[in-house]
Amino acid sequence: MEMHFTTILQDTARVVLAGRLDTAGSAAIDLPFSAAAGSHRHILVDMSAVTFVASIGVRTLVLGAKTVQRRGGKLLLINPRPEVEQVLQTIGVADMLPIVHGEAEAIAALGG
Amino acid sequence: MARLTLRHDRAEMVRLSAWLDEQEHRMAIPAKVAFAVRQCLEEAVVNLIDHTPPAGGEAIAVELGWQADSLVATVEDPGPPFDPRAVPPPIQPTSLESAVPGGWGVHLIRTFASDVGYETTAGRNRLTLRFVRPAAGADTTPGQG
Repeated sequence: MEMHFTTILQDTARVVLAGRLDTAGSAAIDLPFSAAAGSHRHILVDMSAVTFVASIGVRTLVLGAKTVQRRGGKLLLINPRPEVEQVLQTIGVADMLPIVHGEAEAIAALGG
Repeated sequence: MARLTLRHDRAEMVRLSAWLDEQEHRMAIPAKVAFAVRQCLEEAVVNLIDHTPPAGGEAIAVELGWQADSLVATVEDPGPPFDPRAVPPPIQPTSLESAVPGGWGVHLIRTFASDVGYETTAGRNRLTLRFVRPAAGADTTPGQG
């Protein structure tokens, strides 16, 4: 699991995840991911290269979303693969981790 | 049947993942089935490691193999009996505030496996997961296409 993050707007970070967000993957990104969520108002998570997500990985995403929401921010998922989206829907968190297609749509969803 | 034994330790999840990579190629497991098997085994094994008392040695045994049109995975462990079929479905959170991470693994197993069996004999629990092979042309194997 790899994670790269860049600040793209004053208060918004883009986090690119790649690989499997399984037990080992979550352990690798938990700390930097929560640090990114703690230091930005909004988080855009590029999920297009995430090939697998276990419940423990969904937990990482949900905790990040809670962190930004407490300060009035949003966490959006960009382009998850269909099988990853199915996991989110099965667990019932798809509404809480809104999915957008592309960064332009993501920025529009943040309200500019 | 391919067999892997694991210690009661989260660090073992890396070995499980690498073993699954190997079996996916060796058994020509279609991508959709491979995803479902990985989902179920990841959730089942990490649940055992996190929620059952530590056991000595390589106490968790995972087996995988084709039986007719289905891929069958079994997970054996010596912990307290736990029948995942008896667990009620989780309450779906209605907001982020009410979303409490946890309890999702069993729900994922029951959703992604075609069939879930469980028995406990001689102090060992045996979870049997069946995954029906998709119809020809409905899927591709990893590494193809």
